[in-house]
Formats: sequence, structure tokens, C-alpha cells
Amino acid sequence: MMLCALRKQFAREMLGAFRQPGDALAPVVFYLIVGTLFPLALGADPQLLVKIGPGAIWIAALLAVLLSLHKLFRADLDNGYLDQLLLLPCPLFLLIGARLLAHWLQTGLPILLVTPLLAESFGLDYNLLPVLLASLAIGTPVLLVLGAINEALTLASRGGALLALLVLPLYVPTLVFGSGAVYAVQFGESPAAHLSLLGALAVVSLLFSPWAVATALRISID
Amino acid sequence: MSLIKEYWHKLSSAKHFYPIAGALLPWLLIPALIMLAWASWQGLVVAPADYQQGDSYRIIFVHVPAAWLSMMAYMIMAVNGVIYLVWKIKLADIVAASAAPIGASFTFLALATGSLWGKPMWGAWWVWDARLTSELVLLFLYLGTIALRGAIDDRQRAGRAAGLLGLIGAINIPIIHFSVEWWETLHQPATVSKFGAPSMHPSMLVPLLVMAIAFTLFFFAVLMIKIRAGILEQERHSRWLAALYSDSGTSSISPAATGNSIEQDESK
Amino acid sequence: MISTKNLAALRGERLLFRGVTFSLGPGEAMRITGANGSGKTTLLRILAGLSEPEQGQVSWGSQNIRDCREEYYRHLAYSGHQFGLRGDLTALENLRYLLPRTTTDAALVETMQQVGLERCVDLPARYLSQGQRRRLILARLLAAEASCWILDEPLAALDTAGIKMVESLCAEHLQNAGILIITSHQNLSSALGGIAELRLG
Repeated sequence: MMLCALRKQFAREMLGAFRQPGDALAPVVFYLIVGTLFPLALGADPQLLVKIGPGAIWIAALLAVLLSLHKLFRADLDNGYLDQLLLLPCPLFLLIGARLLAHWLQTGLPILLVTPLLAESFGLDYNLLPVLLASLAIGTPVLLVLGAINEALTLASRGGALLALLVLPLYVPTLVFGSGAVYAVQFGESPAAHLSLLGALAVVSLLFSPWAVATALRISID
Repeated sequence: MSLIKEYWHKLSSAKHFYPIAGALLPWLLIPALIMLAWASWQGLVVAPADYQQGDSYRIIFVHVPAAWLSMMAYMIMAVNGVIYLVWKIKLADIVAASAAPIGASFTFLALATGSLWGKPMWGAWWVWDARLTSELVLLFLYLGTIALRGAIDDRQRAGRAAGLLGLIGAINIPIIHFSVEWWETLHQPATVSKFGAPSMHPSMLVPLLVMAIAFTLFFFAVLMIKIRAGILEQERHSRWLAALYSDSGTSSISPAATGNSIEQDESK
Repeated sequence: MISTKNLAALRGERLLFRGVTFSLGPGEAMRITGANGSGKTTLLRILAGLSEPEQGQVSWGSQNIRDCREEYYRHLAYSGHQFGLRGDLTALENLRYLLPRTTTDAALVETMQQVGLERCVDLPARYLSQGQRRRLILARLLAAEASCWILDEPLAALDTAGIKMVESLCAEHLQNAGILIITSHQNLSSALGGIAELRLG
């Protein structure tokens, strides 16, 4: 029954996305828009764009993931499904894991697919593309699961701009290692150290976050 | 063993801790103020000027202890938050809630003094130094935790959420420190830490340590005051509190319908 | 068998109830009554394990539900004020995803027919009326094969036919050695046999 519950949880989230494609594509569109804002604000000097490109793309990805977080739990809290989720005969952290996987496929994966477009718009060298995609592939799940903790904690609260403060402490390491990896290649060095640190961060947060999200959800639902 | 258990039981009960906190207060506050005065005089007047940084280095006597305290306060907040989360001891929640704003103030103090230090040295009010950036992120963690507590209406829920966040933050802080230092060396390859303290002559080191102890005592003194206030607020309907203050003849505090609260005497 | 010992609950700083102790065995039912705000929903949520009580514990069999969550939830079906329906999924899909065990769509359609929802099978849930949603939840109860039903206001927004349906389903459930705990402002018909009553507030 446990596997079935997990499968159904995943299926539900994916099906929901197909029913509301506009909603599902919003993060990717936002990603492209933020990417476009940089040259508009800073001027289109090609040398400048190449220099800020990796960082700007990482910021755009971070913001896009951040924007998509509200879809994780809010609707199901309002319609009462979250109660039912907590009552499934399956460890909650596994169910959360299934849900987060579905959401990454809807947010992170499209971001990855569209990144070459954005990289081109900044005029980035082709040899940067592999490390850029690798860093985003490892980094966006981390951003998602850490953001999920934040989202679960603030579910019961009245919300407010102050809570955005929590974002910075959670995201700084990922941003530093992720964009650092790309810059390393741009400087002609190996990104191995950055990527391994990012990878370590990913392993720790992917293992730890579903439990933290589950605990936070139980607190918020109480 | 049962003596320890009894001690622990007493200490974790708001009713018993209230007078203990009150008794500790003068023992913390007075030495703190004395040491603050002595160390300030020593550091600001007596200690010789640094041959490299001149007199502006003196701000480290405030900056460094403030930074230490900001970290210690966070650990106290995080540990108590976890105790409340796991064992549901209400006093731990009060301690965590009390430590947060004090810690945030020390963090702000560290940032402000760091900024003041930077101005004469580097000509800018803010420099993206690894340690200052880490302190800034710490400030956001504090403010976020305080905001989370304030934004959740149910008190118990707020305490548990803040406790979980404190735990996550505590795990995150070393990672943040490391990543920010990594970031600094990445983008500024040949950096000597901008805020390297000058090699310390004993005449500088002693006032610094005394200042640190003074800050610590002061922190705990303010913490005791806030904890007492927190206990007053939480226990305002309980009989023991009314009895405590009705002795002094003030009849305005009446034990509100005692059926309204589950007796806290025996439970935590 | 579900039992509680000395349950107490707070909302904010207000004490809702204390000293709630009871136990229900197979085939037994209990109706919780009380004025609005007396803690009926809170008690149900505590029984389901969604909320933590201030004092006391809930047990399934001989174990605290906190220690045997998965086992307990295998046998529990809880229905609260909100139904857990996702608006953009059809009624059938919602039903499918509300049930943790393997199901076939054909069997679910049959269950929906039993509660009179055969015309709503492929309708997005947001187009269902309140009464139709209630019936969908009934279908879920039928399909869940749970031995313990905890229902919060199951009769609300139902017409007479619907109410009769709920009562007969509950009666059948009890006959099959199920346990029933409900809150309801209305009296349930005597078709259900003897129901214990717990008054809060």
C-alpha cells in the first residue's frame, strides 16, 4: 500500500500540472523574463554580459524556484487535502519526497531545458554550457527542497514580507557554489571543487529536507 | 541520579525558575556593568594605539565580543527551541523567544561596528568581507525567526515552528560561514582578511577578554529579565503567580477562573 | 478498538475540554455534541492524530497512535469540514487519489453509482455542488475499506435522500464491526441502534 500511495501522490501532482499548464509554466516564463531584465537594466555591452551571465542566470533560476514554492502546499491546505495527506498509511517524508520530485520535474527540468537559450542571450561561451547545466541540475533540487521547508513553516502564518528574510540564509551556500562552478570554468579552472561541494550540499539537503518539511507540516496543521 | 532529575524538574518549571532568575539578576548585572566600565576605559584610553591602524582599531573591543555573543545567543536560542520542540518544556520556549531579539541586537551591533571600522580603513560604509557578510546572513536568520514567531497566531505552534527553524539555522550556519569564505577567495583571489585583528599585545588582549565576559554577563542579565517577563505573561492566570504578588497587598490581580488553565504546578 | 485517556485540548490559551476518556469497540458508535466552539472538531482531529492533545493520549488497540501511525491509518477514514478535493481533477480522479490502496477505475465508478454520482464521474470537481461533494466523500468511505470512521458533520448540506443514505451506510458499517465517531447537530435516526453520546462544553 505504501508504494501505491507514493505512486498516486506523484501521479496526482503531475496530473494537476497538466490540467493547469499555464500555472505549471509560470516559473519557466519568469526565469526567462528575469534573465532578460539584466541586459535591459545594465546595458547590452557584450563583455559585461559575458561577465555577469553565469551569476545572472543563477539568480534568475533561484527566483523562479522561489516563485514556484507557493504551489507546493497552499492549495492543498485550503481544500483540505493536506489533512488527508497526513493520514495516509505511508511515512510522511516519503510522500513529501514524491511531491517534491513531481514539482522539480515541473519547475527545475523546464528551467534546465530553457537554459541554453538564456546562455545564448548573454553571449556565454559554449564550453560553459555543460557546467552551467550541471550546476543547475544539482542546484535547483536543493533550492526547491530548502524552499519547501520555508514554505511548510510559514503555512500557518499570516505571511508577510519579513518572511522572505529566511530565503537568504537558506540559499546563500547553494548560490555561491553553483555560480562559482561556472565562474571557475570561465576563469579557466576546474569546477570540480565547486561541484563536489554543491553535490555534498545536495546529498545532505535531499536526505534531510523531506523530514524537516514533514515536521514543519505537522506543526502547521496542528 | 534522582537528585539531578529533581533539580532538572525544578529548573524546567516556570514557577521555580522565576525566583531563580530574579535572584541571579543582580549577580549578573552588577559585575557586567563594572567589567564593561573597566574594559571600556582600558580599551579606549589605556591601551596603546596600533602602529598600523592607529586609534580606529579600538572598535574591535566592541565588534569582536558582539560577534561572539551573536553566535552564542543563536546557539542558546536554537538549543532551547529544539528542547521545546522535542520535550515540550514551555520554559524552553520562553528562553528561545527571549534570546532571539537580544541576539539580533548583538548581531546588529557587530554589523554596525564593523561598518564603522571599515569607513576609516577602506573608505566605504560597507565592504563585502566574509565575516561581515556572514553576520549579515545571521541577522536575516534572527529577523526571520522573530518574524515567524510573530506571524503565527497560535503560541504553541509559533514556538514549535521557530524551534524547527532555529535547528535548521544552526545546522546551516557553519555551512554559510564556509561558503561565504569560499566565495570571498573565489572572487578576490589575493585577499588578506580585511578585518584581521592586529597581533594582540597583552594590554589589548586582556581588556578584550574582559569585555567579552562583560558582554556575556550582560546578555544573561537581560535574558533573565526577558524570561521573567515571558513567565509573567504565560502564567498570568495561574494561582502561584497571584499568590506571589497578592502578598504585597495588590488585590488587582485576581486568579482568573482557575478552571481555565490546566494546573501547571506539577507538569512542565 | 479506539480508546482515549484523559484528553485535554487548548486553543490558544483557552481550555476546550479536559478529562475526556472513552473507548469504542467494533460495532460501537459515538456522537459528539456541544455548542459551536466547544472543541468538537478539535477532538476529532486529535482522535485522527492530526493535532496533539495538551494532555492524555489516544490509543488504537493497546498502542498509542503516535507509535503505530501507519497501522492506525490503514484502518482509519477521516472526513473533515473540507473534503480534500482538487478542483481541476475530475470526481473520479479525486476519488482515485484519495484512496491509498490500489484501485481500478471500473470499481470506483461502480462505487460512485452506489451513491448516485454516475453522472458526475468525469466532471471537474469544481463544478460539483456541495451535496455532490458530500456524496463523493461517501463514495470514498465506501471504497476505503476502513474499520474506523471519524466524520465531522457528515449530514451537513445533504437533502433527505442524502441523509438517509448516510444513515444506512453508517448502519451497514457498524454491522460490519466498524467503529463510528461523528459530530452532528442533527439527531441520527434510530436505524443506527444505540449511539453513545459525548457532550462537550
